[in-house]
Amino acid sequence: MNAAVDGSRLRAVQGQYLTFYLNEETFGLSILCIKEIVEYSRLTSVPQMPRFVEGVINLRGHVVPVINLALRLGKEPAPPQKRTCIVIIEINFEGATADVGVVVDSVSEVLDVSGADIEPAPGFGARLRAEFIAGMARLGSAFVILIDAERVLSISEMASLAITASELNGFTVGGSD
Amino acid sequence: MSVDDALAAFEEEAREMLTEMESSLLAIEGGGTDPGLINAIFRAAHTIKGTAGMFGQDGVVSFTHHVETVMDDARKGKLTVSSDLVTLMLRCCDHMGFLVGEGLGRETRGEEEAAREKVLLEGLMSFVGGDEAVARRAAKGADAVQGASTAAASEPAVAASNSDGDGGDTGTPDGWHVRVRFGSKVMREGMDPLAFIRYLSTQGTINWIRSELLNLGAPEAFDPENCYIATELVISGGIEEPTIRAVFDFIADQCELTVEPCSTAWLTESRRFPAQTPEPAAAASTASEPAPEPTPAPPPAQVVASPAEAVPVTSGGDDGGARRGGGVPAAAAGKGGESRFLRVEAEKLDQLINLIGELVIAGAYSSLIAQRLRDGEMLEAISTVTGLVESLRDTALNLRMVPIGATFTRFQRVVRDLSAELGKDVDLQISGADTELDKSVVEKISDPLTHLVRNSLDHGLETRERRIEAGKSTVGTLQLHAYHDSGSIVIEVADDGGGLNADKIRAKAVERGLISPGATLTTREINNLIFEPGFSTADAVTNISGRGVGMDVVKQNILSLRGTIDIESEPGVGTLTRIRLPLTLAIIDGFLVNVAGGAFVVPLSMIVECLDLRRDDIETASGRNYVNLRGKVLPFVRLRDVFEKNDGVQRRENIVVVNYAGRMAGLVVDELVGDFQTVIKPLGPLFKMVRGISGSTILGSGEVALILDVPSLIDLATRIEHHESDRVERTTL
Amino acid sequence: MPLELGPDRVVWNLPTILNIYGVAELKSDLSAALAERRDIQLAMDNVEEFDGAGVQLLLAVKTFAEMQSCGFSVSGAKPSVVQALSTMGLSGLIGEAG
Repeated sequence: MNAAVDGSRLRAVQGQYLTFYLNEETFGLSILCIKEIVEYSRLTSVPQMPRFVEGVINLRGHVVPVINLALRLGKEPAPPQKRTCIVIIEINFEGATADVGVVVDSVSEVLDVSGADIEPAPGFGARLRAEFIAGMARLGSAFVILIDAERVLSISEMASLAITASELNGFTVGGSD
Repeated sequence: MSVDDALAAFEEEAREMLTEMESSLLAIEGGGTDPGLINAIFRAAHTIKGTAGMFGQDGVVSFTHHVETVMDDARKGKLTVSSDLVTLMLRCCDHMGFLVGEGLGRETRGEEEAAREKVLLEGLMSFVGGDEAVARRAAKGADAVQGASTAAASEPAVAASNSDGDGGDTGTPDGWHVRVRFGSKVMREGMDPLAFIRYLSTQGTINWIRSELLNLGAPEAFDPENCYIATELVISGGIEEPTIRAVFDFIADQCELTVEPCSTAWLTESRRFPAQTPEPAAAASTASEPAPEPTPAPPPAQVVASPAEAVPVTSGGDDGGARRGGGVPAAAAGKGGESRFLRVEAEKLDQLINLIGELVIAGAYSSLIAQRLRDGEMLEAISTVTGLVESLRDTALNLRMVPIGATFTRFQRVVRDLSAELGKDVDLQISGADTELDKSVVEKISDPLTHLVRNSLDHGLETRERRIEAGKSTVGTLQLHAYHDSGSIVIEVADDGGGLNADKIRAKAVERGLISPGATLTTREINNLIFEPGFSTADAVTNISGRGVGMDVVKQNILSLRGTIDIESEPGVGTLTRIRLPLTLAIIDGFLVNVAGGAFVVPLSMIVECLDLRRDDIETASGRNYVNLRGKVLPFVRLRDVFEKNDGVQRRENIVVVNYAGRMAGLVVDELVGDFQTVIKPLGPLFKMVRGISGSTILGSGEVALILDVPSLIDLATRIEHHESDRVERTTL
Repeated sequence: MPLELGPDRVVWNLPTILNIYGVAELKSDLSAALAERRDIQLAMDNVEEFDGAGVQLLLAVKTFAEMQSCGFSVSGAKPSVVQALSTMGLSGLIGEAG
């Protein structure tokens, strides 16, 4: 399991991480970037975006985009249920901060992770894009994948995927029926 | 005010002054003979020099000094303002703009700039002639500038010449005893006491000067960023009291300034400030200086100015030089007379408008609840509130409106330079300069307009010879015209040049695969093809435009402002480009519709009517999407399909007929809800590539609704229709 | 180290930026220099940027030095510094360096 320790793949540092579930798999996110957690409520979908962009919500007068994290990570999403919620994350974009929401199935606890418990992302076998993984945190005998929020929620990358999506969809008008 | 804010204010003011100088110069060149114009140029240069001096911008001060000298001679009738002088002055204006940027660290001086400065200075010197003393003074000025380093405190050293000017007024005392106690916050707010004193010393002869620190206290309490400085001096040389006071205008409310006339007896005596420091040792910290020699020598170079330079600068607003200390720079002068305007930071205005936007939404929400409660009194009360909020909104939005005139006037210079470069005679006609539009739109419209103007000059207007051949006047006409039209502002750029060659455009479009060879298009449609990317029919790539990167970028710029652009042309007669823009980007009067459960907003101003859409209204023959609307063909798009919200549920459909810039189309939606007004919230950079949606808004219910980009939807509808008709033609051929 | 202890004095090497932007950081050096209770020599060889705040600092150091009966001198001042001081009527601050 232990790949050769490669410094470049070990980006997570010790600190507090919020753990949450995506389709029965556990992940962690540094609490430093988390602004708040809101319930999964009325979402307005926006056309021509890739599947993982669920839409936008109204957060106290601000229009905030919401990403389906499972889809973004390449996993099958679970259908929304009672404990589904949206975690609002603050990321950097072009010198300013922006809010982005991510849908998670449910949140678990905040863990104190020491540096010793963090391992680099495995070179293979994780089924996730390597750059999305900031590190692996040992939790008892299991590992929790720590997500690199800046990369996963890179607005420039996601926006560029939107072009491809809309080109593929052709922005067409359906035929008459 | 922080240092950055003060410097920003200085830069803004300097650039305004330079724009004024340029306008006046162009007016003179255009045949204006009003002596007020020459005075205006002098005053602008004088103000720039003064303000720059206060900010320690020595480079600007020393160069502008010479500009000011020449204009001073001009306004005194000592030299005539020839077109050569105007050209030189215009170039000096440009160089002063560079110097302002250089002083702020934004530009770097290379060989080209240094050489240019030298040439300009020599040019200025050559205009100052006749009077030997005057010439000597100018020459000395040039030497001092070129000899001193720009980093050092290089005051232009000028020999005292009394043959001109009016020193020796009976009312002016021999000298003035000036005491200034700088306020403790002066340095924190970006002012430099040294710069004030240095500038003051350029206005006369300093007979003696000393400085001390007051209320210094114990070392532990010393804060190096506080200002404890007090300076006392005697200045003579024909300077007048208002001039002295004006030097400290910027910090007038933060310092104690005493200006008293003094006789020659005082010139050698010295008096002390009343003792304010508890430590007697503090007295030892002052140093009294006898008058340094008034000859201009490398450091220390005390400056002696000729009395003719002592121009009274009043603290009023009439010469554009008014400045007050603290907070927001107020009282920017209007066109002469008392200032009717306040300068307000754009950000503060935006905050105000945001708040009002929130108020609008909150009002809508309250209205919703009131309706649910069905309480008559409540409904009426809310209705009053809503009315007031609407007025407030309109008033606030109006604050952001600025006349387009300033943008248009900038083009005078562009046209002048460009037409000279191209060797064409061009008459620029401007109308509708008073037409107002949102400040943010004005800023973004400048680049596209510049491109259109350059296009007209370069490709539209013919050379003199061609025009004569064509039987036109040798002077080409370029018109900039602005007016309001039902909720939009329209800007037209027109020329009486050769017009567009529709055949060439069509050929190029076929070559590029934009249209099929057999397609039928109206001339207007062909002409508008030049907005497609990569399009350029200019035979040669000229320096100015014609590289094919222009018109599509212009169109994108306009579209991003929720506007439209359209071109009309008649070969041999001329070309007209028409830009249409919404009056405001912030708030929208919208009409709410539902499409498969999602809420969408159609801008109210673009709606013609709403109709039920019945099956039999739709022309299904040959698979086309159009409706017969009282005999006219109306293409439509089904938003459900466009936005992929087809959830398979059959609903009653409605069609919203929209019109933008003369083109009509239908938007098929499910439910019509009603009209309302709300604040536009941008969707954010993540969604910038989405087409058909221009923003979002928050409804009274808290739900987010998407605002439709009607022009691009109309585009889509008409394109699909063409595509369809092409396809049909191809299949039937 | 900005402060050098000489046999009979402390030499304070002033930094390149001696204007309103740089002057706040010098407070601790000032306290340290005064704490030595020796003559203070301000070495200005590196000073390039100099404004009213710099003038004030020089004058303040002189005042505080004299308050504790210590000597004060300035050395290595560039022409721009000398000129600035002269503009404020403070040429006397530049004494001969020891």
